[in-house]
Amino acid sequence: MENHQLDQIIKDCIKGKSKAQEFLYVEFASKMLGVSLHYSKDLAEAEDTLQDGFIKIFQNIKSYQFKGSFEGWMRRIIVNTALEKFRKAKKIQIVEEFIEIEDNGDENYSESDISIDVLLKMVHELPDRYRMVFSLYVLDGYPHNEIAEVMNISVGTSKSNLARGRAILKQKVSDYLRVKENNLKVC
Amino acid sequence: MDSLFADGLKNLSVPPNPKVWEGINNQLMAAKKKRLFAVYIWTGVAASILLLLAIGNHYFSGQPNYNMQLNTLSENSTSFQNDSEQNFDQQIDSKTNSSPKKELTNNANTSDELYVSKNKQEEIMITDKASHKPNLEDANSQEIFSNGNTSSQLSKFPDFNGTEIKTSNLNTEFLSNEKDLAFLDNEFVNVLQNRKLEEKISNFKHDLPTQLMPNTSQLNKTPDYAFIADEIQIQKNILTIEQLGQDKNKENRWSIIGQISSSYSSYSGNSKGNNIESGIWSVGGGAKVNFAMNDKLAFQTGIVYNRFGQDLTGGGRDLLYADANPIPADKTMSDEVSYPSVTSAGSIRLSGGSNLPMADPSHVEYTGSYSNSYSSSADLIQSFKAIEVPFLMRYNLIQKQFGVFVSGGISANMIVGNGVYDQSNGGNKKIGEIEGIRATNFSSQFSFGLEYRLNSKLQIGLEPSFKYYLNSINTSSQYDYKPYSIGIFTGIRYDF
Repeated sequence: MENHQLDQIIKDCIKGKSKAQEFLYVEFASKMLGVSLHYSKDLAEAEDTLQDGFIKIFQNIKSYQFKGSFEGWMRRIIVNTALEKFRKAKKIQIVEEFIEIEDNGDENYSESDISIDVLLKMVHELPDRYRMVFSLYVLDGYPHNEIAEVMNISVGTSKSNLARGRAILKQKVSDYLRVKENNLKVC
Repeated sequence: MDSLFADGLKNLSVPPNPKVWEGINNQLMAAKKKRLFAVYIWTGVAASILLLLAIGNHYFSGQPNYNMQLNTLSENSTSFQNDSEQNFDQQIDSKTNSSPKKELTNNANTSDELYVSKNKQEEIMITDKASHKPNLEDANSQEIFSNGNTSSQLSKFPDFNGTEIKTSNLNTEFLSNEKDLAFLDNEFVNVLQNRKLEEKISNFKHDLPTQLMPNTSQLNKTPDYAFIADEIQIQKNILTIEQLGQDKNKENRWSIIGQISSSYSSYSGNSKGNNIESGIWSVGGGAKVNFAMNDKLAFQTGIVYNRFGQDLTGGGRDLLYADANPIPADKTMSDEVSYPSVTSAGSIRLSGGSNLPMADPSHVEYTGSYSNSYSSSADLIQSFKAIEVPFLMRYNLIQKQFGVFVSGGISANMIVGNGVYDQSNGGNKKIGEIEGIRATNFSSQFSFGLEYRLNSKLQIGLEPSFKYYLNSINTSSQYDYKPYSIGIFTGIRYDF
C-alpha cells in the first residue's frame, strides 16, 4: 500500500469512518495477529488480544503523528495490550529470581529443520512470563531495561527469565530434533 | 537459538477469524451510539434547565411580591397622596363656611404663619407614608405646631385620642378650612384624615373583585389606611391593564412564525441489506401561521422544509459481502468503488444510465476475502427532502414574559428529493436513488416549546420536537421504513 493511501485511510479513521476502519483492519489484521500470537498461549487468546488491540488503535489513532512507521505504532499497541492482559492475569506478584545465565554457545539450527507451527507451539508452551520476556527481547527487539519497565520487574529478572526461557526452548528444540531424527531412522 | 525463532516467527502473519472484526465493529458502533445518546442527554438537560428557568421566572414574577409592591408604592404614592390630599382638601373646601374664620380673626397673624408650617407638616407626613414608616406624631411636626402662640388655644379643644371622635360639638365647617386646620392639634388632623381615607377604602372595596382585596394581615398591625388605599388603587390599575391587554389579545389572533431546525433523523422498521446504517443530522426550516382560538389554544399550519435519511458509512461491509451494486456506467474500474444494492429504505437504482440488474440481497454470501483496494472511504448518504404541511394544535401552559407551551398534530410530507450520495473525498455526488418511494406521507409530531417575549409584537422561541412517520415511505411491502427525527426548532414569532 502506498504511503499517501495509508495516510488517507488513517485520516478517515480519525474521522471515525467505518469503511476506513475496516480497510485498515483488513490490511494489518494478519500481521498484528502474528504479533499477538507471540504473547499468547493459544490462537483464541491471541484473537482476543487482537480485538482489544484494534479497538485501542481506532480509539487512539488521532494520537498518531504521521511520523515513523504506522505498522510499528500498531505493533506497539498490540504488544502493550498483550502486556496489559498479562499484568491483569498475574494477581500473584512476580518473585524476582536471579539465576546464573548459562550460555552454551550457538547451536546451528536451521529454520527448515523446524516448521513455524512447531516453533510457535514451543513458544506457546513456555510459562507466561518467560514467553513474554522471550518474545519482547527476541521477536520484537525490546532491550532489557524496557522489558523491565513494561513488565514491572528488574533488569536482572528480565535477563534471568530470558535465560530460563531460552533454556526451555533449547531443550524443546533438541527433543523435537531428536524425535524427528529417530523417526527418520525408523523410516 | 534466538535467530531460529526470530526468523521463523518475527514476520508471522495469520488471517484472523472474521468474527474478530464483527466484535471490533460492534464495539465501535456501540461507542458511536453511546456518544449520540450523550448528545441526546445533554440536549435534554439543556431543555430542562431552560424549562426550570422559565418556570422559575414565571413563579417569581407571577406571585404577589409584597416587597416589590412596596417599592412600587414608594414610587407612586407621592402622586396618589397629592391627589388624595387635593380631594380631601376640596371636600373640605366645599364645606367652607366663613363664620369660623371670624371666630379666629384675632389669630390671623399667627394663623398665616402656622399655615405655612402646617403645609410643611403635611409634606413630612406624605414623605413618611411614602416610605411606609408612617409616624404621624413626628417630632418635627409637633415642633412646628408648637411654634407660635397656638398651644394655649389648642388646649381648649377636646382630647381626640382614640377612634371615637368627639366632633359632635365641633363645627366641621370650621375644620374644613385649611387656615383653621392650622390651629388644630396634629393628632386631630391625623384622625380626621384617617376617617376620610377609611371612607375612601370602603368605596374602593365595593368596586374591587374579591381576589384583588389586599391582604392586610401581612401589614403592620397598626392600620395604615393610606397604605391600604395605595395598594387597592394599584391593584385596580393592574386589573385594568390586564383587562386592556386581554381585550387587545382578543383582537390580534393571528401570528406568523419563522423557524429553523437542527434535527437528527433515523428510522424504525426492518433493517435490510448488509449496511451499517446510522442517522444523520440536518438543517431545515419554514414558516407557520398561528391562529389563537382563545387564550390557551391555537391552531398552526404552514410550510416547512426538512431532510432525513441515513448514513451508510458502515456500507464498508460491502467489502465483505457480495451484494455490491455493479459499478455505474460513468465510473471506471480504476475507481475501485462498489456500492450496496439496497438500504433499509428500499433498493437503490443507480443513476448514470446504468440499468444493470442488481445482486439479490437475500443471497449474499461471505466471500472470505477482502478487497485489496481502498476507495478513500466511499461514504454514502441516503437522504430524502420533504416539504411538510403541518396541522398542529398548540396549548399554552404559561403565557407571561416567558411562555411555555406544548403542541402536537399531524403533517403531510411531500417527498421532493430522493438520492443516494457518495461523499468520498469531500464530494457529494449523487449516485442513485431509492426506488418506490411514496410521494406523500403522513407523520405525527409532538413538541414542547419555550418562548420569550421581546416586546408586544415579537417573541423568540425554542422548541424541542419529535416527529414520527405514521406510514412506511416505501410503497413496497418488502420495506418497512418509518423515519423519525428529533430536533430543536428555533425561531421568531410576530403577533399582528
